[in-house]
Amino acid sequence: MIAALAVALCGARAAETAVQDLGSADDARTSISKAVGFLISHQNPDGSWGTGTVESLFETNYSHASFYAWKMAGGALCCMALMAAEETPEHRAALAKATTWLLEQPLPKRGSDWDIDNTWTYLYGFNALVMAAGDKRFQAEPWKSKIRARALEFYSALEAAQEPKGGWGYYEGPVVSHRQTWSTSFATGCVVPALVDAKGMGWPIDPTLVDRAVQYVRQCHLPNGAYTYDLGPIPRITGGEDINAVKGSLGRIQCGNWALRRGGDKKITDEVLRWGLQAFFDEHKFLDAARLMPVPHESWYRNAGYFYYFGHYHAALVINQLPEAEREAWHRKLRAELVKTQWKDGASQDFPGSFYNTTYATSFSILALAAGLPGGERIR
Amino acid sequence: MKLPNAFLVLPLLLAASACAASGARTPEAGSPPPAGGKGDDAEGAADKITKKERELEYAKIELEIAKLSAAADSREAENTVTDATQKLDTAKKDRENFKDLEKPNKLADKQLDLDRAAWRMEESKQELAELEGMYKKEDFASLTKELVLQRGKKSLEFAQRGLELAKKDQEGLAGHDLPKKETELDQAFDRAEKGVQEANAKKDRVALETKLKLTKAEHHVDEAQRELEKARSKDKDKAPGKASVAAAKP
Repeated sequence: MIAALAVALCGARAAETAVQDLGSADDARTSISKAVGFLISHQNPDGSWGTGTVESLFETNYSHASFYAWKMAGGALCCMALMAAEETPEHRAALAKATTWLLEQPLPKRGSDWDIDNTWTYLYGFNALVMAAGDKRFQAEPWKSKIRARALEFYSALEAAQEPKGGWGYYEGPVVSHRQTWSTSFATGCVVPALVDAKGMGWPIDPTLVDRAVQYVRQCHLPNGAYTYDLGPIPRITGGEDINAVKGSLGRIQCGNWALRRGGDKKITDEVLRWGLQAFFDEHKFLDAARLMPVPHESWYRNAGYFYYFGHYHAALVINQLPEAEREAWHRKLRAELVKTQWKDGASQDFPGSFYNTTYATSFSILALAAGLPGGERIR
Repeated sequence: MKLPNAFLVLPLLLAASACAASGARTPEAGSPPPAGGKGDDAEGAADKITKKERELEYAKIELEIAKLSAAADSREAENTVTDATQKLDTAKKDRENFKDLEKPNKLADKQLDLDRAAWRMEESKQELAELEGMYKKEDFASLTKELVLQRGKKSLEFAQRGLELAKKDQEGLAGHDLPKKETELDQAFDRAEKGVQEANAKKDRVALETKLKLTKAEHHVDEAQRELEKARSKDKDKAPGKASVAAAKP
């Protein structure tokens, strides 16, 4: 029995070491190279990725319009990933095509009374173009003007959609109305830093819109450090495996802390960021268990498969908010969790579904890994 | 099962006695008609004996019928008592279950409904107040805010109406429905108790009636037996007449 235990312990340690071994900067570079290769090899001739139609039986309940919306949101993330990756002529060409497609194709419309997933396109379209506006490759005309104009189109859509409490969501709330009436902490948090940066670039960004968004995320922040999924007039934790417990909020904690920190909230100190990252790695098994589960929120603490790469990307952004000296240790841990999940063909995936699931997951992985490499601080 | 057998036996007995009587009265084939005078007297005596014999047979059968009837009446009375006792037992258990379990449970259940309705109202009130507080902070999205607040106000109004209904429901249950059912169960118990008393009284009466019927039937048999013996005795005293009748036969 002792021998069996010893063998088991050795096995566990070996597995842990194996995962840790995947955390070097070289591992990250190799992973990024494979992932970018995958994206380029799967890019459509027009610069986009995937299709605008449902490709999976898991997603037949959504409105048809949402698949075009996700295609464009996934394309925006691919642009961000290609901007983050080390440049080659091949990357540069793929990025130019992808950005052109994002600039020129029509904005998605609302899908149905309840399905307003087109908000994701506004959020990530804006994020990608704010990143592009700060990228040296797009400083010349006509890129510069086109990027600004299109980004402001996304901004106008966000302005029109911002719900009365200040957030953005992707399903309709208690009232079906032109302006949405339900939002989530993470959909809101994911765009706050880009709004701050756009304002910093002198773009016509309404400061009250940003304040409302920051306030929305702040109100979702619970005393235990978790972020509620959405903002209700009175926060609820129903007990047991609640999604609003820390174990159900691992990715939202990173996104929320990063958004508030970048939004100027002085309460989000380095200590708060460290606590969130520590919880992320301590309870990482809940994200592992949920990854690739086909039913949303079916895992422990109602974690969904698609929390995985979103959470890791935002963890990388949080790490880059900490003093430089302590970043590498955190990035090393993070890289290992990303590299271990990469498919052989270079793609990453956390939720089975249409192709946009692969584009967003692979892009988030590239962005998170690139954030931990020299020059990664530009991914903010 | 005994009664049908008795009914089968009865026609046979009647048929047998009828044949016996016919055999005694009907002249044999080819014999001359009976002469008048002493011969007629003898014939009259013989008829009398036959009649008495028949009456004895009838009395015996009637006694058998009386015995079977008595057994049936007794069984019926016994079954009536058993049924009435079972009904009483059921009525007693229903009443006990209602008082010990059903009534307190229904009251508690309704109280829970009432408490929930009160809490729903409180929640709606709190949420509306919080929402109004959040919305007041900034002049923004006033139309959407108004739509959402309208839902909140309606939700509070419905919660208030739900609470009023729950209160009335509880009053109706505690003040009318449950007391009515309790009274009905008490009445059912009283009726069942009286039913048992009646069944026992009927049983006693049937026992006496049965005894009377049987005694009468036994006496009837005794009397018929004595009448027959008397008739035979008289006939013996008139033996020559009887012999002449016999002599008249070939």
